[in-house]
Amino acid sequence: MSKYNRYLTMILTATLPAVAVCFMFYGCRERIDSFDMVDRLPRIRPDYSEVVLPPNIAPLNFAIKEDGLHYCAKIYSKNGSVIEVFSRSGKIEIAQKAWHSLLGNNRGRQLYFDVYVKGQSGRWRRYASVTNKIANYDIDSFIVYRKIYPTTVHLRSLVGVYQRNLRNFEERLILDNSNYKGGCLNCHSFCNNRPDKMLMGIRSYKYGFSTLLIEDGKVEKIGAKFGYTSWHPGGKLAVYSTNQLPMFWHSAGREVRDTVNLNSSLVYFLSETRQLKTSPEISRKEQLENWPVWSADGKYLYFCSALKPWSGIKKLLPEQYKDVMYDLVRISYDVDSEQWGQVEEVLPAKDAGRSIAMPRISPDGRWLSFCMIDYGYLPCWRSDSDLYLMDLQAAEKTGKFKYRQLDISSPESEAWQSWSSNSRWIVFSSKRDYGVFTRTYISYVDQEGKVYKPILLPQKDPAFYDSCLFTYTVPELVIGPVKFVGDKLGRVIRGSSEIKVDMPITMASPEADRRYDFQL
Amino acid sequence: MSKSFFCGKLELMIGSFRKLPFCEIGRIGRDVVLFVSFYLYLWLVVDSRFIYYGNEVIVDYPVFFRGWAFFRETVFRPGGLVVYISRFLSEFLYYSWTGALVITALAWGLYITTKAIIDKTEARRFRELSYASPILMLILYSRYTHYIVVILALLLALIFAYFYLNFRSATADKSAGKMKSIIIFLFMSVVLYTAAAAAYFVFAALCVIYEVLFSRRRWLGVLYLFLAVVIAYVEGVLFFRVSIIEAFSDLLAFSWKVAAKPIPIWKGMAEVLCILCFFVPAVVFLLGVLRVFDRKKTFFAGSSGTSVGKWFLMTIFLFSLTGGAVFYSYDSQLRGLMAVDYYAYHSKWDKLLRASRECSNNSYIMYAVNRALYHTGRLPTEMFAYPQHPDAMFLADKDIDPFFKWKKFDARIDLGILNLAEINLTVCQELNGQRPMILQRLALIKMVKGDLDSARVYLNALSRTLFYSDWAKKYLAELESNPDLLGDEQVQNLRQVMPKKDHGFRSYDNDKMLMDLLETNKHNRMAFEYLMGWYLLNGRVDKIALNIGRLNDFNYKQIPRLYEEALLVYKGDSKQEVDLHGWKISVESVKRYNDFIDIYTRYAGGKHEVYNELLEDYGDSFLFYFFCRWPETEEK
Repeated sequence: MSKYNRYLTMILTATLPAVAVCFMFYGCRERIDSFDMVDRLPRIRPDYSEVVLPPNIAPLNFAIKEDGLHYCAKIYSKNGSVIEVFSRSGKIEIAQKAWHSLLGNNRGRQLYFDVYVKGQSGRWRRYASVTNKIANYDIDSFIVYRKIYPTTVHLRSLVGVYQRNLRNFEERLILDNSNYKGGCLNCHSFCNNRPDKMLMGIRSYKYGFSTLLIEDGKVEKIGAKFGYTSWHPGGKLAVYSTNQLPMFWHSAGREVRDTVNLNSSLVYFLSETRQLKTSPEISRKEQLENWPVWSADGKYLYFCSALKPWSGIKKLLPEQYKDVMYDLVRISYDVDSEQWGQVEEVLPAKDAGRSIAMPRISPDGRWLSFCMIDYGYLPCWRSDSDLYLMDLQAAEKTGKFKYRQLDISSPESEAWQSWSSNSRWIVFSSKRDYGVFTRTYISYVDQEGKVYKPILLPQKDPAFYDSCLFTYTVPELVIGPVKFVGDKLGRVIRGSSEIKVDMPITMASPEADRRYDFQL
Repeated sequence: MSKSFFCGKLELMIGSFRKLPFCEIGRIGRDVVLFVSFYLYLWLVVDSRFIYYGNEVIVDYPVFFRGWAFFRETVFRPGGLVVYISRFLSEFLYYSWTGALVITALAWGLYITTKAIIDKTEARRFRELSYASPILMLILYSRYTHYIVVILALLLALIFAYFYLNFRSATADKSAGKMKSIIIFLFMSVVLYTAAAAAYFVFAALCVIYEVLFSRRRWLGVLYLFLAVVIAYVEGVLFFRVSIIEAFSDLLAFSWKVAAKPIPIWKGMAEVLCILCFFVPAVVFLLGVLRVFDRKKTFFAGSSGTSVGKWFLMTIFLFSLTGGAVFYSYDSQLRGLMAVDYYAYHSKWDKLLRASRECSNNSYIMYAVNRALYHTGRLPTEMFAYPQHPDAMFLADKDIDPFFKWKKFDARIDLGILNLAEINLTVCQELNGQRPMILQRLALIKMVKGDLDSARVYLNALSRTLFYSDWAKKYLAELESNPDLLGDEQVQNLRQVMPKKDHGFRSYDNDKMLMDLLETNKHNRMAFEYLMGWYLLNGRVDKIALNIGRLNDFNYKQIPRLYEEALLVYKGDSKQEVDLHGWKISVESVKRYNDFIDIYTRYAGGKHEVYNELLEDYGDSFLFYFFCRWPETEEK
């Protein structure tokens, strides 16, 4: 055999089996030549049907909950090629590149999921097409949330704040309590959805209570713990609540935990002068002020306020805890002169019939979303919590603050809303599908304020939430990733350097960070 | 393969064995006896099942879940591989014999690697020091601790150190060897840090000590020291983005996660773990120092031979040391505690009552005993045959070990006070991780409460475990076809007794809690017996009299003896008649009461004399508890 023939034989010997294997696989690939029609929508989980989705969202992977041997989903729109996913388990995991290409080419159009299931007989069944709509507007690219066990009492377990890239499934830790040997990590707040200007409360029994301030490309520690915080849109100050919030429990019912705001007031942090201040108008002794939020133009501070039905320091649960109803009020503020106006009623609880909590204003200034509950201030532990929307623009014209309940509310708790920077998306926490395990949902809000059926924050594994024992709370939309993460923040917490601030003491000031003994 | 082939091989092995010097045969024999005894001790005495089920007590017990998702979330961080394997190996503790096997294998691994490393220092006459690691492990497991993650990480570090030393010996004399040593060190460091996190520093320390004190390549040692810190920082903090605290301490004995377990019953065990972790580097360091000063090579002679006498003495010494370690660390009280916990979980009430005799003065034991007595129908008659304290009935004792405190959920589930049990369980989960036994109870509570969405999450998580999967899958299927779980007796019973009326509370008074339960369902027998038990323990004979009519709600044949005694005490004290709602106090009880009072009054003021005389005949009575043992009486 010549040298040439030897090489040829070797190449053929190596190539032919490879070709045969490829052919075999291609030949074995499922094809759907014929099928029977089923005149109903397929059962899919999560329920991604009739939703409006952001064009830059990660693939909406889902599981087909129909009996069958083999599954297929064809995903398509007007432009671009069909994405075909076959699966033996029913889990439909969509390739990211093809998905983004499809969504990018079809903004404002319908998106279809055709689901096929091969039954025991070997015949394919095709269900009615699942129809969704791709919005024209992007959602902010990141979401920052806190991930904890449902009941975090001892704070020895992992408490962490994470950022999730909404374009894909990447979740990265911003900070967890292992950076300061256990403790709590409280609410995080961003200025105008910007990841480079944020505050995060820290409660460490080893390194003290503080707040991290990320600003101007550096991280600093403020020697006071901020409660629920809202940045002024100009970024010059942040208003926060100081609260006395002992937990208590319910003897019956599905939700066990609850809390009462025994005492609270509002304080503001001036970014330039590094000072804490308050005003008598926002820290009245007889009132419980809470949940501050700035209007988009920065001229008003909206907050919730209730008449305090008890006096003095309470150690036990006051009997009147069910009588506390929060009004929605606002106060004008002039950022240049640092002058506060008078508190005005926006929506009194007596008119609404329920207690108002967690107001958030869309960055375009038009919408004010909020929660209402039967009593108290914290909706996330209350199944009676529902979402509402108020048109502030209309209110400016008519002088009447009209509001309506959103259709997206469920019989379970809804809380912690956050608006996207373009005011077209709202994310919120809900217990609608997983009981005590709070998950994050995204809803589209159109120009007229119609809020569409929410989508569960997608995960790579569509069954991820089914056994996930963590709750996801305080979702905040941000336009990019938080750069300061992990030990960069941990070092600051552990370090001795901090911005010294004097807490403005008023008659309404709650006892600082008091922990209560309780017996479970 | 013919039979003659195997016979030939066997003869060859026996021949090789015969050629071994006596000391080697003796060592092998000693090792075999030692590790077989080690295994049998762990299997039959310690009983690793107690560790596995001591789930609410053993903090951070490594839990294993099946599936790629769990693998991915566990492994991709420093030390993740060791954590993953430890979690898997910990599942073997489900059975006593397999658990003992895993622990013995780890101890043997530590022993063999320690010996090999000491041999590498050429100080073979000190190789008996390698028995220290298994002995330290014996102490740890005798006290029912389970630091498998740290131990496995240590073992891996020692194996890597041995291979490094082995490789180093092969290249020591060559000039190119130094560079190769550095490359090998770097490579092993990166791999080991990824697999075992900060336990890697044990490996690095051994390499540094060896290079400085044995090879006299001091600059290499200094370089390794520097590289070790850099690798941990770069890989841990910069690449894996863990905190600097974790990067430099995770999977080491002094990690804050290990040290931050203030459990009184395990006092000193974190220190033992520290000694175990740093024992080998310390020994190698001391040998290195010794070598520097031992110019005549007295201790570093090549021969490892020894006489029969020396072997015998060493064997006696080793076994004495091991026995001493067991004697020092074994705590029958603790074993009893763990056994009671195990039997309580499995509802083996009679065994629980027997085991409780070993450690009767513990609040948790008293609490568990009362549960056992209730479930065997003996609470109203035999309660005082066992030590009692009012605080123990609901584990309210402030001094109780905080990690037993949360176990009050069991009685609360039995009673039907599910929301309180749920809080206790979620706190337990927070403290001890996603233990299947906790998830199982939470799933049950959620199913009873009708919160099926939450129940499914717990059940789905459980379905990924090795041993609770079937239970979870059975309920998941049941929830699909029968969401109300109508055929499930336990669920239905609990639904009947759980409170329906809601009220908020920060502290729930036991008296009120039990009365609320009886208001919900007057046939809640456990609530009634616990209420009466609570009154007995607190000497509230008036309340016993007030509630005696509730006997009509149950199928008692007569007034239980302890209640009769309380009623007689009440009558005697108050001189009032009690409305017995048609029930009668037995003649025997009246006679017993009269006899008791006679003796008691005879010794007026002489407490010890009364105590001794009454103990034998009346030690299990309420009369004795009320007059002689009740804490308030003690105070008086």
